[in-house]
Amino acid sequence: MITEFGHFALWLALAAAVVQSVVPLWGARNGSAAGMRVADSAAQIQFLAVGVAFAALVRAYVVSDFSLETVALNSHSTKPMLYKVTGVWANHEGSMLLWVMMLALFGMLISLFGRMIPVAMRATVLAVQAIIGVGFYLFILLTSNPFVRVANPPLDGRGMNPLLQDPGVAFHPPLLYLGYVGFSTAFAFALAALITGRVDPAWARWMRPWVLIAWSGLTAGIALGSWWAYYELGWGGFWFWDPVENASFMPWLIGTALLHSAIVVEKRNALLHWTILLAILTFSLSLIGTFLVRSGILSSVHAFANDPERGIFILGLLCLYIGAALTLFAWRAGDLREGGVFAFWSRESGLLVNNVLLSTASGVVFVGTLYPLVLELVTGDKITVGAPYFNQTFLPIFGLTMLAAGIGPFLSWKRARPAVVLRRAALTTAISAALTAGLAVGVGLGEPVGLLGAFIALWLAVATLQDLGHRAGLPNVNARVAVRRVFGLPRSAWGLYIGHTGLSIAAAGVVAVSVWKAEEIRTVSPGTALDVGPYAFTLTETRNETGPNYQTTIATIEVSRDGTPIATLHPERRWYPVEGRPTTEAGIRSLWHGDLYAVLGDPDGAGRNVVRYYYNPGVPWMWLGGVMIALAGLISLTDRRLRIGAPSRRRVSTAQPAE
Amino acid sequence: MLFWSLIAATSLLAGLWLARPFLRGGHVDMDASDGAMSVYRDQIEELERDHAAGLISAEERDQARQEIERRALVAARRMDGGLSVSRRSPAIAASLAALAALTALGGYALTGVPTEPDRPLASRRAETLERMAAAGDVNSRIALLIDKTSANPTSFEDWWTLAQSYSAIGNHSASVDAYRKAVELSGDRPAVLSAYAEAMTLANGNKVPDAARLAFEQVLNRGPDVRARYYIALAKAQAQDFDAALEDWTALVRDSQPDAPWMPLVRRDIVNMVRFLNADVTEYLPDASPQEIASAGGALVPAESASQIADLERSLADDPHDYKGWIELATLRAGNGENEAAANALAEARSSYAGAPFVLQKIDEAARRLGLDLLPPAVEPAGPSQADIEAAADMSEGERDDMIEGMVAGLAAKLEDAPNNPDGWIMLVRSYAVMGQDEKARDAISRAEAHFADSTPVLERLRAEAATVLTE
Repeated sequence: MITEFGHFALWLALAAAVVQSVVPLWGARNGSAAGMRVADSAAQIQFLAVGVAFAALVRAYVVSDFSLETVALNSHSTKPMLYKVTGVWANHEGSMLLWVMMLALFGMLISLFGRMIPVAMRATVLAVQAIIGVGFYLFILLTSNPFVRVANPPLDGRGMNPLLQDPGVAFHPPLLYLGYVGFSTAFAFALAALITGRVDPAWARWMRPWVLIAWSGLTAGIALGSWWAYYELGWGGFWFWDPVENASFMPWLIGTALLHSAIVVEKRNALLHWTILLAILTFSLSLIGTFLVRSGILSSVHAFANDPERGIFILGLLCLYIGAALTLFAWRAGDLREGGVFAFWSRESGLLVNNVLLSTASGVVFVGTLYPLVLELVTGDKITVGAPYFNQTFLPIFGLTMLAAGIGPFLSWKRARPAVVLRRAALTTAISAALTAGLAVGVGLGEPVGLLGAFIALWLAVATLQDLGHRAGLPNVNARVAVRRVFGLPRSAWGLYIGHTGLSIAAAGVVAVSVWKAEEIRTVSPGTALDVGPYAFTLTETRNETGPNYQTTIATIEVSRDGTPIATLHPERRWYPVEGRPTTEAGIRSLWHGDLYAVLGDPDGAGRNVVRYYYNPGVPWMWLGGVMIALAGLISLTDRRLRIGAPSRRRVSTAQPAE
Repeated sequence: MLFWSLIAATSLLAGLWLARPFLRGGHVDMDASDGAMSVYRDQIEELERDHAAGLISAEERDQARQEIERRALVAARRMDGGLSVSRRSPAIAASLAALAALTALGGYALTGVPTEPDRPLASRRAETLERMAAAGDVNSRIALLIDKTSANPTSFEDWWTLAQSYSAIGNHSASVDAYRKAVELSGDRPAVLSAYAEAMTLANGNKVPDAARLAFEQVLNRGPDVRARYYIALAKAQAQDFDAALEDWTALVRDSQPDAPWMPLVRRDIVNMVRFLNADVTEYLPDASPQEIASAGGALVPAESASQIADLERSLADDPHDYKGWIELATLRAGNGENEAAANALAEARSSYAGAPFVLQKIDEAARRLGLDLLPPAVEPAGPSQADIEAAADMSEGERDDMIEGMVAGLAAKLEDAPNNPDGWIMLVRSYAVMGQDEKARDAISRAEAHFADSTPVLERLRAEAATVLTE
């Protein structure tokens, strides 16, 4: 009964979404405040209903109700409880339900915390969101219904891919969807701007918190996915330029551009067209990502062609939404008047350059991701576009982006003084070049590519600190005043400094591990020491144990440096009998400068094991940087001017006399 | 009905909540808020802050301030936007609520199965076991009985049925334990004691242990019991006292109706025993059939069986994983009086199927049928022990492959007998694929698909397995 009630609730959510997509627009056209306000109540009912549906599905997984087909195919009675719950979104049907639930969640949050947004704008935004929702509810209910029952439920389920039975990846999809789906708000605000003809600083400010939440979620989701790949797949790699990864990376790149572009709208009432276009593109790329991951086209173009129901449906939605949005843009963009003008040397220009670079980078990734698919569809040839393509195209563009991100804050709004900017940039260059030279000579790092990367990362860090110092008034004020000023900076400035520093730290980590990683793969018997960089890894023993739903072989590996013990690693090789699959669990010890990383491979039957040992310098910096970037978004979100739901009316009355 | 009322009520409530704005009148909303103004105000505040911090000059500040104020003016002019007023409209509210409710209910009617209850696993164990036990699945019956006996350990009936069920699936050591309980609860009832002693014998590889022999004798002391008489004779035969055994069995035949159910077994043992002793079968079985006379004398038509034996030996040399072939060979050889050769055939079959308990059980049954288990122990080939299986690690690659093939063939044979085992089929498909026998793997898949034709989850598993292990 609970299950069927959940199924019904999903239809109820669709019904609410239908009302939400029609009545508010009618209300906005006809000046009916009640009609517009229906958007709020519908958004609340929609979220409540889809939440009930989701809860019913979670319960079915928790109690192992194998009369639901998706539970029977994706769960198992012996699975640990955590993975029974996270198994809900580890499959197509459940993850689509999570997708629409996120969409409804954003709708409800806008209806509750967006009270300062004028009702016509809010109604239009919520209606656009609901139109997206209607398409996806229909997609779920008609092609991917998680509540399909089986007449003769099996006694046990088929289990869940053991690679996904991991805390890291368990929370990766919800964060990723927070990003993907969160960008639907930007899309909805952009369309609402085109429909109502209202784009101004206030519009950018209303949109900003939602974009920040989505962007932070996406950042954290990508970092979590990368972290999981790093410790679970057992190759010491963290990013594979895999289409699934690219599908999340493209909206991040464009979303980053959007985030910066929206600042210009808010501060200077300029770059309106750009911002609206970026908002549309960001969510379009999220939709394309959803299509790539959910249509099955990636696993095999043929499988997609043979069982096209789901893929065609999403493709249809994709074309409909993106096509309609771009058409609306083409039709209405001409009516929007750009506001502030700006000189070539200005913050606006800097942010524009940043937008162009990020968009180009995203385009490069887009081509590399979709070209093989298109080629296979058209000619049947299978090709793989791998790391070399992306390294040669994406990295130079992203390097330039980072250089620009360093200079950007030096530029003042509207009209900057080139001489001042160039003088400060020259100082940045000198300091970073000196530090890079120090690395080359002092530490003895050789690779030119690595040194170039190090220079760029240092450049961004130095420039960011330099700007922070400047904002604090250094070197003209004393230390106490400077500290006071630093702490008095608005939260959005903190977002800038933490975000840019985080990017610099993460980039340094990526450069370090890509260029200076040390690895050793060998078949060893217990007691054999292998040198990996400056470290000696020794396999001392392997023992067999049994986990809740797997058997495992755990190795003990002692790591020492110059005879001093540093760490003991315990990599595992697990076997999941239900699913009939092995997994590896890397043994990792993070030091401040890098990771000691060991993977246990197959035994050779003669008491020896294949082992893979790595010293991965910089990897901890990548995670630190990722956390800082995601955090930067959240810190900006707490900026006073974005405090959503704050009663603005009262501020008017108290603030006005002061001016 | 209850369910439909519940969801109808829910849809109605939801519909009313949706339409709520049309039920509350008198609200006035400004079309544009002071949002834009507050942005400009913040910008001016920030200018002042920057100026105070010395980041911009007074001149820059004034310029910027003028520009912001200019834009604020423009924005203020556009803020003429009218007011919109909410008017109460119960009609619109009602139609909205109805529309929403009907969409939800109609959609659900389209795809839902309102009659289908929740089926959490915890509530399904007994139900499923009962269903399968009713369909004749002994393992489910056993699981049910285990539940029953642990809930109520003093029920003789349950232990008795459990013991019999264990016997039926050949799990004799478990059946011994259950019978022991039954014996205790029955107060040493002879029929129960007799069954217990038989289970002990079967668990001991059909060798009557001393304890069982004592039990059988105790049973006989308290009254006639065919089973006890049979096994005591068997015990004598196993103690190499063939004459006494033959005498007891003959007496048993004499005392029994010709159509008694145990007669074929007893007569078979007499015939086998006569064959070993090279005696005359009619002396013990005056009504011996021609076939029995032939078996006892090893007098099958030699030419025919010789060619059959040769054929079988050839095909078994090619493919030793044909336990039915081995058993047939042993039967033919035993029929020819070549008891040791017959025992050897079964020994070879055992070594090919080490690690496949199901087949080993079949081979044991054949040995018993042919009386080969009565031969002196020297000829009795050792069954595969845990040690043998562990020793597989030390085998050469060829030997190990043989053993694995044996296990796989055993699994195939078992599934033929009891096909209701999805995991077994999947393991079989995987094993064939690993051994490179794609043809056999495909064959196994199609047989499994035929068996599970109406069970989608199992079919999906099978197909997924096929897709991962089989290359097109």
